[in-house]
Amino acid sequence: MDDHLWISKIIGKKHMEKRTLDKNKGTIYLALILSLIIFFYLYNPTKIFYPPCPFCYLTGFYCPGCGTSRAIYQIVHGNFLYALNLNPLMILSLPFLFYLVMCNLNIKIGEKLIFKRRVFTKKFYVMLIAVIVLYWILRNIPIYPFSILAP
Amino acid sequence: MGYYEERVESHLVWAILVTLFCCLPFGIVAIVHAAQVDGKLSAGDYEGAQEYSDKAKNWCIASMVCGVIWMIIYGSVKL
Repeated sequence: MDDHLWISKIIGKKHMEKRTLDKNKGTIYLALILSLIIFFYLYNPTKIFYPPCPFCYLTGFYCPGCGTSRAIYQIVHGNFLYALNLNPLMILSLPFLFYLVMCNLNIKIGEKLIFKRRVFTKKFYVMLIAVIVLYWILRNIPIYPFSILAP
Repeated sequence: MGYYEERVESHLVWAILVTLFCCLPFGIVAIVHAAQVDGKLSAGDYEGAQEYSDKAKNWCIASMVCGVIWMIIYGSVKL
């Protein structure tokens, strides 16, 4: 590809070298997922000595990640509904994260990429941050419709 | 979709992971930087995109390191 040399001049050689690490990416994701599954299959975070969320510990408010470890414990043990109760946004983000990881891995069938790296619009990012910040605020309101979001 | 656009990573996966799986507000900063990467890419500024890509990565790493430091501090105080 002629394109190739031209780009390495623009973006810099350093970055082109980074791309050779692509094969390791799959291993990193797989290791992360497997270690999470094995750890939470063996240990219940509410029963063993497990550090709480620093944000919750210091301020007393829930953060968007509160309840994630308990939710993973419940998923690994097959209780999807209970996991949804603990951290709904985390569970709902899993399919999207899976899609992003697939885009990252550059898996090819023959010569064609299954998922291509997508350049998201500004609107998408504004929405994403708005959803997370709203979720953060709403799950701290101890009134009925919002209290479902709390862990 | 250009060939070079696939080359610049926005690190959005790790940004979301540290926000929803870790605990610190740094994840939001990482998402903002990931947004800058894609913004620069669609404007055709590949150098700028690369710069923000590195920044997003650094915020993700900072967040993870903070998580580990917290575990060590909490563990050593409570044990």
